[in-house]
Amino acid sequence: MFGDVMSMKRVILLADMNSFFASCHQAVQPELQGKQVIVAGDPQKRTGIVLAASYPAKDLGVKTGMALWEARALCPQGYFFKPDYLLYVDTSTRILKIMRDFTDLVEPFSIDESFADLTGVIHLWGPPEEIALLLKARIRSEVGVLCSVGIGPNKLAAKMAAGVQKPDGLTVLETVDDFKRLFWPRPVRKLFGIGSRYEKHLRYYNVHTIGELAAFSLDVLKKRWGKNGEMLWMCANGMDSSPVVPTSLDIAKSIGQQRTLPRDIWGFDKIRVVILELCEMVGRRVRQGGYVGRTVSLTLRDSQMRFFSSSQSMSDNTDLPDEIYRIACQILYKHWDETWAVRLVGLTLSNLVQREHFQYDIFGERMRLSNLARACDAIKDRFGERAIMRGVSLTEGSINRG
Amino acid sequence: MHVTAPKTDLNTLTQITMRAVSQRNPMPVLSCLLFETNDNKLIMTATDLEFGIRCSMPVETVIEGSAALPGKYVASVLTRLPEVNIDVITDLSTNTTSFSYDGSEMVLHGFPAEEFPRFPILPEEPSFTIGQGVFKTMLKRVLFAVAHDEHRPVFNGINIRISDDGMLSMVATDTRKLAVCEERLEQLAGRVINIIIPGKTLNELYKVLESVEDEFKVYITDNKVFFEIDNICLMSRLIAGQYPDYRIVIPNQCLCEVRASVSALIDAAERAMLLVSARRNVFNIKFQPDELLVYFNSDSGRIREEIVAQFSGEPLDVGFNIRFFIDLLKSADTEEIIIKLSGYNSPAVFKPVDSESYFSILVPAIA
Repeated sequence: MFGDVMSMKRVILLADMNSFFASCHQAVQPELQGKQVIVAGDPQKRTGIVLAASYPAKDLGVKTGMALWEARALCPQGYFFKPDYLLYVDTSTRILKIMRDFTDLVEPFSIDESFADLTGVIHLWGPPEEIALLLKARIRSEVGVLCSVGIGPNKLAAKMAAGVQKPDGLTVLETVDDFKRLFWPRPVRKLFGIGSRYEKHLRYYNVHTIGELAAFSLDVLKKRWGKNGEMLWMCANGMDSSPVVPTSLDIAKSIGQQRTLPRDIWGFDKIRVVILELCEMVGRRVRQGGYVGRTVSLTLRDSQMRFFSSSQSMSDNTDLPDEIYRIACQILYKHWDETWAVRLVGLTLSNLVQREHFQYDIFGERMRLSNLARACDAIKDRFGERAIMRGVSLTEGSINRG
Repeated sequence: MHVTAPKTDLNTLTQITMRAVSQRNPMPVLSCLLFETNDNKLIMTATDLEFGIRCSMPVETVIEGSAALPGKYVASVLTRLPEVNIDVITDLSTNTTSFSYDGSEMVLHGFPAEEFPRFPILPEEPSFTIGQGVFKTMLKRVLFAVAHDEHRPVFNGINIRISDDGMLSMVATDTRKLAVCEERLEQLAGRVINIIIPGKTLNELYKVLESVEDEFKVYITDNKVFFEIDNICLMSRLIAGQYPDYRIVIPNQCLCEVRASVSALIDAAERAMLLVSARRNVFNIKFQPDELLVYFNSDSGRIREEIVAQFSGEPLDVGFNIRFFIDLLKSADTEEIIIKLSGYNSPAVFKPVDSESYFSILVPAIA
């Protein structure tokens, strides 16, 4: 039985939207097709970096992560957009729906990439190439964005194949041997899972290409990086047995929020205001998902881009903003200095589990807080997120003001 | 300083005092044990300023003096020395102390003894005295309920009160569970007492106390408490603040009442505990006529147990955190317990059948 599963040839597809955010804007404004479209944050709010650029803009040298003024200099006639996340989520959902017309084994990997396991539907739709062409055509005509499709015997091969030809590409790897022929000569950096760190360390072992990594001693990699080393070796050899799990994104492991502040702030009083507002947002999302969690992480970045992140766990699971806030403040007092300017604040609740039981306390405090939070949720559900907020949101430094 | 004493006695003294040595204190001298002589007595002290222990034992004093030595080293050296008389000799010029045995010696580098903080002076008269065994039993019944990392400091301690008619009561709660224990003092305390003692202190006191009838003395000042048990003295800071009145949270009527065997309940809960996961740590008990139904399921499996019990009132299904439930029952030394319930979401009261002097409360976990 086990042997059967191992030897069964799978056909996995990955659809990767090209310049997704920019494409979404082009899809709703078709006159922008073939133009230089750039999606970037607001420099006034100090979030002015390029999030996505269409291919014509990329040809002029615009890159993701670049400051907005640089992009403007390179591409003065470009069409600039602020991010519209509702549009992106909506577009992504429509694409997923099209993919689910082919098979229900569709796993969203990120907002613009999804896996589909075609193994069981080939007899319905024909060979994988045909399915891919059909899928691409439907996404282009029904949604209006282009995508690159990779097909391979496993998720890794499909993911790597999708990156071969961009935009609007289609690459099919029928077997692991195809994977080896195509990718082994390429630099090791191109392998999924290898970043600049690994690249540097591997260079010391005289490993420069994916093929060299595949031929390298597994024992040495295991000794050096443990499980991850073994993973890398398997990836280099095109081996990946992970299944396509349609529900993988349905279970959140953590929920977080972060904000770049329009101005630097100093002092615990003002930082606490932002933290409390983030706690409210995180708490609301945790409750909406029906979760509780017990580990709070606080991230702060100062004006020199110094970065700080630390977490602390409580003894009880919670979905209450006041309890998250208390732990976040403890982290703040322990690790941050009042005189350091804060540019970015992030807050995450992790170790999430489904909220099946909730431990109340003798004095009824958790019951009161819980009822209050749920009453606020009901008001927000009906009248909008800004219908009710904490008093601190009216003070200077609030991220909800203006 | 130069004293002579049997290794066993020195070792025992060190092991007790070591409990107050703080390993991670920014003041290095606080990682030390202070040795002092007073006539033919060796006094050993350790403190982190919040909590301290001072012990004494008879020795043969050759030269009076004092020394502050790193506690970790003294304790491990003494456990490994042979069972003979040890000469402890301090050389002030080099600030070293040698432990000589059988013509051999082990020399430890010390800290200046005068830098070691003074142990506070005890009041002249004890506030009250009580039998060690009685106090130890009381502690056992409430210690499980004390909080460890509560943001409200009062819950990290146990509230100890003595009323004007000589009733000594202890209350501990981490707001999920609560324990109360009362005992009448044999002789009246001079005044009404209402203090909060850190749980950590009382945990250490619990280890030092013996289950005997011998009495020990309790001294209370404005911000400190001292426990004097023979040659051992524990000192602790008190927790400032107002302890909330627990009586308001005790439900005054109940929907149903059961009487069941403590060991049967613990056994069932411990078996259920084997299946606990991060997601599920709450099991349910169905309170109903004839028998209790304990049931729990998690990703790993499920369990269902029937426990014979006397029942009266309305049937009720209540969820409890398994860990809390076990801790609570283990603190009660009784064969049978009475559980009073007033709803699936209100605190459950656990009373022993054979004693009116203590009871506990556990708040259910609600789905």
